[in-house]
Amino acid sequence: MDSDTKNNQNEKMEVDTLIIGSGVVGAAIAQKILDEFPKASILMLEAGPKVKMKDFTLFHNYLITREVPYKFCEDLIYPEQDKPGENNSIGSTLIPLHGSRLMIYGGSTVHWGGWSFRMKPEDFKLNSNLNNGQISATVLTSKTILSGSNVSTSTEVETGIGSINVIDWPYDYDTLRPYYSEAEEYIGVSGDSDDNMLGCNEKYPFRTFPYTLEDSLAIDAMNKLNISYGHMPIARRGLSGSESRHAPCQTTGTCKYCPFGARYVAANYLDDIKEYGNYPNFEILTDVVVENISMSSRGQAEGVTYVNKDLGGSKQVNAKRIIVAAGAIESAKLLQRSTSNYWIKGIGNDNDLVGRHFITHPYIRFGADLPSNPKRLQTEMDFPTLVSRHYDSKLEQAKGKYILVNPAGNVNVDLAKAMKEGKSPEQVQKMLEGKTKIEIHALVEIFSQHRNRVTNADDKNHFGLPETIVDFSKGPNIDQRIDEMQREVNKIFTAMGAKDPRKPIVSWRADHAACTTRMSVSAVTGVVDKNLKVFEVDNLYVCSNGSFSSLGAVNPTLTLTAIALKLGDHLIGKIYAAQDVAESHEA
Amino acid sequence: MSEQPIYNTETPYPYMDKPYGIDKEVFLKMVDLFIQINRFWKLKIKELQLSAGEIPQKSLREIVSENSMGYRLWTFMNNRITFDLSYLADYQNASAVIEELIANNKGNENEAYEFLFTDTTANISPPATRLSRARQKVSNEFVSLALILGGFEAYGAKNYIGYFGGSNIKGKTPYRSIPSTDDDNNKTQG
Ligand SMILES: Cc1cc2nc3c(=O)[nH]c(=O)nc-3n(C[C@H](O)[C@H](O)[C@H](O)COP(=O)(O)OP(=O)(O)OC[C@H]3O[C@@H](n4cnc5c(N)ncnc54)[C@H](O)[C@@H]3O)c2cc1C
Ligand code: SF4
Repeated sequence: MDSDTKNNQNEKMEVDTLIIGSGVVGAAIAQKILDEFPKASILMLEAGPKVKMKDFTLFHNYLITREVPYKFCEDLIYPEQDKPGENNSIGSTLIPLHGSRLMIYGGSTVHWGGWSFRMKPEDFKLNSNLNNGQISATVLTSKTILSGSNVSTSTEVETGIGSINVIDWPYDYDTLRPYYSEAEEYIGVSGDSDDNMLGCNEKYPFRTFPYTLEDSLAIDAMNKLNISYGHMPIARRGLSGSESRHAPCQTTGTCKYCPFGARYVAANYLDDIKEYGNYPNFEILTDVVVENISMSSRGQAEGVTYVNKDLGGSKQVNAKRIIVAAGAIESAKLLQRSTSNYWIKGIGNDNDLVGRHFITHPYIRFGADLPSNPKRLQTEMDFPTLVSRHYDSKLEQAKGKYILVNPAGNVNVDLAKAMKEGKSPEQVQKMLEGKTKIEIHALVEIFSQHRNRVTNADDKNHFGLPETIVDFSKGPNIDQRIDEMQREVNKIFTAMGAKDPRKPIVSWRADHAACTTRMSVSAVTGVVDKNLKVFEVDNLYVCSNGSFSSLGAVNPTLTLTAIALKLGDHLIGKIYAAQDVAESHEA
Repeated sequence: MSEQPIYNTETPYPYMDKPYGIDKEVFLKMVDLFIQINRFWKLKIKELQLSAGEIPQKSLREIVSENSMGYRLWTFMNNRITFDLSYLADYQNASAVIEELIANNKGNENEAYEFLFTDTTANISPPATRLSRARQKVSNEFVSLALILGGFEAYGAKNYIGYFGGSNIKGKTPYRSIPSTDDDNNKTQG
């Protein structure tokens, strides 16, 4: 079956499966294949370094300084007068990249929050639902494309300063449902098994975290206003009957650097594969940047060229199949720069769609003042336990669905700061019970627009990857939508007894960058097919949030893990099929 | 097949072999400081039972191994030194500053510590004097540690960022929660 991985200075390296990127996607796919074929030859290439996890020296430093040890793996800020910086945001809406992803062994899960939502059934039908007259703007064009037996429709809607361009997912919620369960198991989600997003036979692997006392204000207010709410499904391991190398959450509240590994971090899972698994042909190289993908024909990817940042020089590695799992931005950029006579504009980019339709979620922080805090509410947890998906509904879809989260630490009191300033115990008690700030956070769905995109810049970033040019201008309806959201949130603040709501703080940071290589039924509207295979290329797959057809209102990573595991199944099928062919040739 | 050490782990500090050489006198002064933080802010930290009477006879190893809070303080100090060797000097400096403050206050320890905890100039950042280094690099960090090790309970909470609260067990939720949701009596999205 799979041949051994080979590498020496004079010989071209050859592997069966090559994975670019070591985030949750790379880790989940590798694990899935290795579970089925322990001897599979898999090489994972990661541009970033390995940083120590679960280290108590670093944990103590984080406790005191709030500085994470992997900060240097973020993008630098954009260039400023006195700072060279890196990357460029050229659209009318600034999209910060700094802090939005990590270039590191384990990828962006090293700093993620672990909110693990399923998307809702209507999210898979965005285009159809908008076409059903739900959107108020004028429909400019509705393109129907016939490709083989598939019909693909994409809608362009006039929005005042541009058009939105949305599609359906090539499958529905029920197709992904079993993979959602598998993903929840894989990343270890604690959640409410009575949640109506789960089918009757489905359960979260770990018990939900009860609402914190800090949630009580929001709960009372939402009850008064008949706004539905529920428990936050969160990737924190709980206690279970079965043995696991991953520790249960100890509610330590230092989740950006968990001393136990209770929050899913791909780095810990990759370590496990390496340290405990018996997988002789699985290798990971860190600090190596893939420069481009080479093609042996229009339909066949041959391998990649990578640069070793420590040793210098570039190297070619060939593979039977290549999985680009480099995140929504880098995956698109890698296809774009992989030009050849077969693909003059980059692989899969004949229709100039690679990197386009870029969206992310704006993260919105609404705030007001609580006149007093008699229960001495304060931060006891580092992750939220209450979320409302009331406005994440089909009814709201055309305007932009959204979720409301009662964030951990929504009541703003800082004991340590007060004490360090020299306040007496009596002053600290008074501060605790007195007037304080309170917040509610929100994510809102954004619709893709053809003009919004990411591309490669000429310069290299501090990890040796080409810098990124982000060209994004928010649609005109979004400010109006945020105003509507503010009106709803203000009702909640009023019901809480909070006063003086402030103008929301809106961050467009690219944490949930998506749709840049979107999945569709046709190359006219997307870049990859329902199996995440680049159209017209037999052995090249792209799996990242970029492959989402649309993003919905919720954080993407559970859905991302589900599509990665689905891809794993597809690849396993391919490997079996290849074995059959090989065996029949031998016979 | 690899052409480089595969797990080329990066850490922002160099590895050092223990022990680092915190001497007993300095450590005991740091224990005093920790006890004074507990007293001044009325923190009621459990397990702070280092008895001054026994200490002089005991070795540092005995003190640390026989008292869990002492052990945690010692571990914390070692971790700070591991991260940044200058902490070795900072702990020595803080010890000396505390002695000087006590002398300045004619032996009144409580007043000396209160000055260290509350003097506003000592909190001007970045620390540029011996006093402000003692306050910011040592005393303030110990304040954080004291809260993390259970001191926060005096201010009404059941859990705190950095505290090992424990697992999410039915009926034993390790943070203040809404009782009806503790029992899996969970409300779901409508
Ligand atoms: C602060 C923050 C909080 C978040 N919280 C949540 C949350 O609570 N819930 C949620 O669902 N999502 C959350 N996310 C999003 C989540 O982190 C991502 O969806 C997810 O980690 C993406 O995984 P990935 O494997 O696709 O990509 P990544 O994890 O980004 O991994 C891609 C890897 O590929 C490597 N790479 C890229 N290009 C190359 C190349 N050319 N050669 C070699 N290697 C390359 C990169 O270095 C990187 O390590 C959060 C994001 C941020 C920034
Ligand atoms: S709260 Fe849980 S996940 Fe977060 S740091 Fe503590 S143990 Fe880790």
